[in-house]
Amino acid sequence: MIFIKRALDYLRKKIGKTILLAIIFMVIANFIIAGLLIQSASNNAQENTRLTIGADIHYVMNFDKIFENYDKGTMSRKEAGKLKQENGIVISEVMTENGAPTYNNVNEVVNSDLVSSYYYSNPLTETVEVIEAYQIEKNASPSSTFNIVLYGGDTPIEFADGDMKLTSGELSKTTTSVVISEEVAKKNNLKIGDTIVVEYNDVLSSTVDIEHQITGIYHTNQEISSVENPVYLPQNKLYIPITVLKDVGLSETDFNNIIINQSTIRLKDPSDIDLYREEVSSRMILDYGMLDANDALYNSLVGPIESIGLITQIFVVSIIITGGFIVGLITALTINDRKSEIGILLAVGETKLKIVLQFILEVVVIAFIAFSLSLFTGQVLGENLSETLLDSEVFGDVEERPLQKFDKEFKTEEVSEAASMNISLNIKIIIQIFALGILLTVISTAIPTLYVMRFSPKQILTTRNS
Amino acid sequence: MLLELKNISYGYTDGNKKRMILKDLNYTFEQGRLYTIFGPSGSGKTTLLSIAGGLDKTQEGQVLFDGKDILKMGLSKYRRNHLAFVFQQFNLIPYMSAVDNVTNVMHITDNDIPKPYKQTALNLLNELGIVESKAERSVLKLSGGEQQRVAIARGLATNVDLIFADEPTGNLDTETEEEIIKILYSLAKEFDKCVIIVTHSEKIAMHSDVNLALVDGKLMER
Repeated sequence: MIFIKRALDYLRKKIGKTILLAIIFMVIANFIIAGLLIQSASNNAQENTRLTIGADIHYVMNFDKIFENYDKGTMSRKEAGKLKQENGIVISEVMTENGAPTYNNVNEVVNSDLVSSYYYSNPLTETVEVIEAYQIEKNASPSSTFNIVLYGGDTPIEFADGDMKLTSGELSKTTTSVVISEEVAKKNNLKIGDTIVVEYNDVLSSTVDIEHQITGIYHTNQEISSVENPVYLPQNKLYIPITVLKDVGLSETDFNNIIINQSTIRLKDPSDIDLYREEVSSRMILDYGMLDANDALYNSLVGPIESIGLITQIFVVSIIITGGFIVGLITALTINDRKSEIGILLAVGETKLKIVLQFILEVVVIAFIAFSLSLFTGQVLGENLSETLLDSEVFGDVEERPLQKFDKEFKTEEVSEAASMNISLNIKIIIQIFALGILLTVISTAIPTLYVMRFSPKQILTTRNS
Repeated sequence: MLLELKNISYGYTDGNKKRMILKDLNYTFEQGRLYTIFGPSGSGKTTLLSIAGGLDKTQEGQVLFDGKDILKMGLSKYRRNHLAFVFQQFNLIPYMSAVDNVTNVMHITDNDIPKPYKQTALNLLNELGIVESKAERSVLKLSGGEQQRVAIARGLATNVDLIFADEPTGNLDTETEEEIIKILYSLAKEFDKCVIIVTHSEKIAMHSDVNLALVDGKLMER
């Protein structure tokens, strides 16, 4: 391993050249590190933004496509008319066939290994005989109209997210079960096991009365201070399994073709959203329906960050190529000066491989020191660069816009925080930096060294001695 | 016979013409003898030395060391284990000390060298008149004569049988030239080496066992 000693001797004795090369390496390394840090931070910011916005996917109607087909005349007036209906149950076989979120299609869409849980519901405004709805104002005239939430799938989202909490009983799958609020239970002196009768007016042309047994009572954290119609109060929601519609009188076919108003799909891994979409698209046509993951908001936040990521990627590649060229040129000039040394070493029988290894080692040692020192300075540079880029590109328009996550309002600061780029070193970046540094030095050293290696020792000595 | 040159031919292309400088050259060299090769500039002395020393390949013919073709042996291995060069310009590695220049080749050769290498190198340098304090210095701080002694020590360090020297006294003053000639002579006589010197120096010729001249691409005894 005498070539190692020769390499270290050279670095020590030629300290001026060593320092000069180290400075050049540090400049290159700083830019590479800054670029990699910004790139990594931009990836993290994208992931964080996705997590903060929520990984929920909503299977919704694609009205743009529906209107387009209606304008073209490929959708009948009758089918289009159904969609205008504001309350009640809409049944459409055409929608099922074209991938709209009908009962049949929702169950098809959620049939994936990527899905962790799902929930869907349809609201109905119906009258419940005998009992009175909860009202904020004590003097308001009594109302027996309730918001019936016909739900299916796993636990309803309000319960899963903690906005509502069962204080007693359970959310039963039995079609004639019902879960009511504490307020409604108290106002009407109801308890688990009691029954109420719901008049279903909006399902069939005739009214159908179904008796429901109370299986659970919930407490809601949602507060509304004033509302025109008490039916919109969260306390007046009655949770009933959607399958009750069969009891109401819908045939199996009609039931399968019910358009589902709200469906929420949660994935095991939020980063699998695109994969999930591809998977679903590969097995069914989603023409009148689409899987929306708050894409408009996500893209508006992440778009500029993605641009920064792309710019820094180009920046890093450019720096590596330019850096490789500069270091290659320097080492070529250095090695040109050392032709005689190569000739001497070859003349005493040293192998070409060990001579090449010596030169590579010299540069690798310098590069290692320079890259190690640059880990600190590069981070500072990266922070300043990313701040400048973000200040100029991203948040100017985000803060002016109210951000909506369906019925839940986002706090702007929360999303902005998620979309901010946190520049910090991690082991993956450090490995990337050193791998790139070594690659850079090996390539830039090997090329000029191999160039010299083409000569025979006699040629080198003759050139030098002449 | 230690080294045999068989039917060696070598030429350079000059425009469309090939100028042969070594023509079907044959000669054998023995151990324990000092040879000098004379010839005018451009006669092919250095080329002959390069071919015999495995720094270059012959275009025709064979170089046999101890009866073995050096091309089959591998030129690098041949240079590493069987010969040493002493050049007019010393050709020491400039960023190393004298002793490091010597130990460097000890690490490179496959021959058995007494350990520790540094002590062996210091002893060798001391025998050639380089004391330890000088041996630890950078070779660039040594005089021409001292550098040539270091180069000779480097040649002896690998325990080889064959020493090639190309104008070894060309850059030295008269006094130092005589000292180096004595050393080279002793290498042949005391250390039983085969020493082949390319030179213009008649002083060296006076000490040599065989004086050769390179005439018309062939070696002839003077």
